[in-house]
Amino acid sequence: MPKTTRRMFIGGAVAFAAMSGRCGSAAATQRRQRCFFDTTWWDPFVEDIADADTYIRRKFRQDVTDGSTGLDVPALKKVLSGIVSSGRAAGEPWRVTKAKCFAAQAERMAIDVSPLDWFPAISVWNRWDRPISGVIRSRAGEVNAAKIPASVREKWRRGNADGTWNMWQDFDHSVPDWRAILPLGFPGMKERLGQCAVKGDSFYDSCAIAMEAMLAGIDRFIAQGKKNLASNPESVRLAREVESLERLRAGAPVTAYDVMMFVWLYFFYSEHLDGIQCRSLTELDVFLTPYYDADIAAGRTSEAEFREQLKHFLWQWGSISNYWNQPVGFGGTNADGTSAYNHVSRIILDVMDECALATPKFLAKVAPNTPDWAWDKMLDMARRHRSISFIGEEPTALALKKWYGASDEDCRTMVVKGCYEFILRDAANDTAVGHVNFLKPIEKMLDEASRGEADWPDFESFRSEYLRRLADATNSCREIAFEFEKVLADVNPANCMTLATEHALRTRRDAFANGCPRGNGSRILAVGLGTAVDALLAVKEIAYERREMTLASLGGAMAGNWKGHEALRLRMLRSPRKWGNNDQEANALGAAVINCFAAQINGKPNARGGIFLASGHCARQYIELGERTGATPDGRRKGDEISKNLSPTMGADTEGATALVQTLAASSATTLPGDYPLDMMLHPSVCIGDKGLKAMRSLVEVFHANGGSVIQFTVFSAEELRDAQKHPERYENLQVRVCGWNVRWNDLSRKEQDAYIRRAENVMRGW
Amino acid sequence: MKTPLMLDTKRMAIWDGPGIRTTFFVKGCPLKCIWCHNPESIDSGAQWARFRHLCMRHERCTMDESTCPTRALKLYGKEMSIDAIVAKALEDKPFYDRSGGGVTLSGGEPLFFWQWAAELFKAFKAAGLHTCLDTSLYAPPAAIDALLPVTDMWLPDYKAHDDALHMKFTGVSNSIIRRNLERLVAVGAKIEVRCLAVPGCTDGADIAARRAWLNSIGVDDSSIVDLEYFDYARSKYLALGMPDTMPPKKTD
Repeated sequence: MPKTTRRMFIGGAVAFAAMSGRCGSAAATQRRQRCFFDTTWWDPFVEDIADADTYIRRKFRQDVTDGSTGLDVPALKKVLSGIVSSGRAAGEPWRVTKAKCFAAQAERMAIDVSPLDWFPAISVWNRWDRPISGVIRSRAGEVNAAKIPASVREKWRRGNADGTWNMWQDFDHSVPDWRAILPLGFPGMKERLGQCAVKGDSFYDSCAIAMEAMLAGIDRFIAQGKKNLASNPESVRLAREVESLERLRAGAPVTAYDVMMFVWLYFFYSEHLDGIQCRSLTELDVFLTPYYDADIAAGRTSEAEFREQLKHFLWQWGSISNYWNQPVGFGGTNADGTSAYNHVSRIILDVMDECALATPKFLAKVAPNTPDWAWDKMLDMARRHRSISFIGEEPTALALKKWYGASDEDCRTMVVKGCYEFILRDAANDTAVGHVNFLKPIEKMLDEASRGEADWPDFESFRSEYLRRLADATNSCREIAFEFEKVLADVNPANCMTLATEHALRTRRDAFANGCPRGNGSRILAVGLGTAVDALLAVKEIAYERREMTLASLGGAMAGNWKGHEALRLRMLRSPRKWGNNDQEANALGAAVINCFAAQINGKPNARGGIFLASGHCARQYIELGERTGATPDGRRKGDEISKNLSPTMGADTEGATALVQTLAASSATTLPGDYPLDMMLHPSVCIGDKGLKAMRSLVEVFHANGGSVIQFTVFSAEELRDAQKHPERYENLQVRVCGWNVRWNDLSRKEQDAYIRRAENVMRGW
Repeated sequence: MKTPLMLDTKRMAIWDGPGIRTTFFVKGCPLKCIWCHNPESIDSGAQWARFRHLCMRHERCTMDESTCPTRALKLYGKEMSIDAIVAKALEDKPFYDRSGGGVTLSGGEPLFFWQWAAELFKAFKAAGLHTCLDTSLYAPPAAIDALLPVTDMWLPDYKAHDDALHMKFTGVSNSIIRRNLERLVAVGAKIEVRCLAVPGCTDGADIAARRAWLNSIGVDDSSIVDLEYFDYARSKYLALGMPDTMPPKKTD
């Protein structure tokens, strides 16, 4: 297993040195370093990996493949470029060209099957530098220019530039129907394709190319495994790995290890080679249980071996630099109504706990039937910073029933994925198309007032105009998304995903574009609800109640970023009349804003045979859109971050955790069916011991009982975080929740760390 | 009936009795503990505090808490009716129901206003709320009589066993407190006694003496909680213009 790439530290910076032709280019390195969420760039290269733990930690942080088996990423990029050029010259259908790109990687990339690991390795390890990404980007430029009307593109661009919204074509939120493809395995998927395919039809030809490449890829792993086994005949791990790959080459998974291997293969085929994200790794305990029980009954494995395989399975994603984390579904309810948490759940939680990984993150489905031991174990892990969130089965079912007419069984088998999302398994190839900035209409209205172009005589008319503009922006966002989603299959045909979706094969539709039985959903996300409510209440207080300033002068103060008005700014910043304190006026205003946003979105048809859904989380847009938003009357300065998800503005929730939960009861997952999340930061003193566990569980249960869909905890004191900032070397494994995902503390920027410390200080205030 | 001014309301309190609780603090206390971490709770009248480190010395300072930009001005002690207190407590009832929690009355010294406290607790019970009383037990027997039927759990402090120490550091004898503790134990009231070891004051032999006496009257160890001392309240003494009497916390 030769190493051909080396990184060196030069004067504190990282540089790549080409030890052979297989190294990343300097330009590529620079690109990666500019990418804030790529946390691989500063990792030290490990020259000679001799133990399993180092191997799995480094596996997706550097190239660990056997260079003699195939091509590295730069070489693959050249191959793909050639395929695209010749396909274009021959007038080949794009999806066939893309299938060939996939096949070239599966059949020619460098690989390895190491005795140090339970899973294969591939040279396309870096999710920020995949050969297929450039191909898709280039194709998107061409297709969008040719097929999306110029007026739409211009409106889209302008909104992105001025911070009205942030929108993009999304290929990152899809999940295959694991329940359908696991019993088939790859050969079963091929057989199903054969039943549906029409000879000479390029749609099916492209699927066939991808299918054969998947199988050829497995053949290559088997051959490499056997080669390494010959030189490591004592390696039980390697022997088992080859046996598993051979079983998967011949049919459906037989053992629990086969299931993990199948998930591994499909994930990397789809996400790393085909450029379509695989945004959930199954409901892990539910899927593994029958296989594991059969393995134990047949004496095929031991619990110890299963634990080691699980550890390596989780570490595959623990090693990948995925800022957003890789979700794993967990728990839930069995068909007979009993809880799905069982002996396998315990083992998986134990292993996850021991690994202490930021990712994969566990999205745990909980319900009244969830046993006490599972609650205690998961909450205990959450308070020790393990990456785990709690999704309520009951509130999510209400939302799915309302917007999809889902049955109880549909809801029971829902997929949990992404940051906090839930969706039916036969509609799970959905997208997050746009983020609407709730602050922007206020900024524009005050700007118009400051220039004498508009005025509103009372707060009611100001509020009505705000809601009208928010509705306009949301509608525009939806209309733009409708247009740019028409061309998704033209840009990035999803051959792997189509092979995994029977409905798509039978109806000759691209699975990602519009091939799910219920159509594919498109989500539009809310950004800055809390700050918008605070800002509206501040306008009311300053301009209409106390009449300290006219609307025009308030607009002027905002344009001047509060200069000359520091006393007023501080007062507004510290006003108790804010979203998050269960203040009835703030709650009512928040509900009106949410309802206005949701009414423009929910249930409206999209271009993918499905519907639009309003969503309450905003990923990282509370920072990015904050940077594009001027000062606001709640005391926020220009460019500062705005409130995250449905949470209060940082520092605004002075009434504590219970008031915060009750504030969010102002609406529910039925109104925001994309998700209705609550990020809750708690001081360690309220989480100690059994009392702490009970308190945390009560918060989750009341939130779910009030219609919230998912809650996650961050448990830190400001002192602890300050110490971590000062002594990063002592906190290598410290993780914090960002927004539905965990990030290692040391991977956050100084600015983000400071923001976290301020949050923790705010939590401290009540103690 | 003496009615107290209210100091503060703390929601999501999990260390003031079982489950998630809301704790209400009254203003006014007959004791003068030198280590008091709520010096604003000693005087029963309203008090202004000015936190100098927060004050921006605004040229147009109106001395109005609601408009102070930095919250440097704080008015301690506000009127709050029993109905308003119960309404506030009920906001978190779903959390009490899930966690086995309820309401706690603290201070100051709630039994300084025992007739009012009994009325409040009756209202809490009528609303179906679990009640805890955080008290020094420095109160007449009539106060215990009035509160016993409506108090689900008592959280008494036992500050010092040696009466000379008690006198020296709190300003009052502990004889009344001991009689009330004995009474609560005798009638089978549910109690959790809190013992604070203050460096240089009550951290010596008195710790063992307190526990031994409590055991002797029938308080078992599981009902005794040792509390850690912190000296975090110095800024409040300064803001109130009170002499800072807090002993320093010993550091290792």
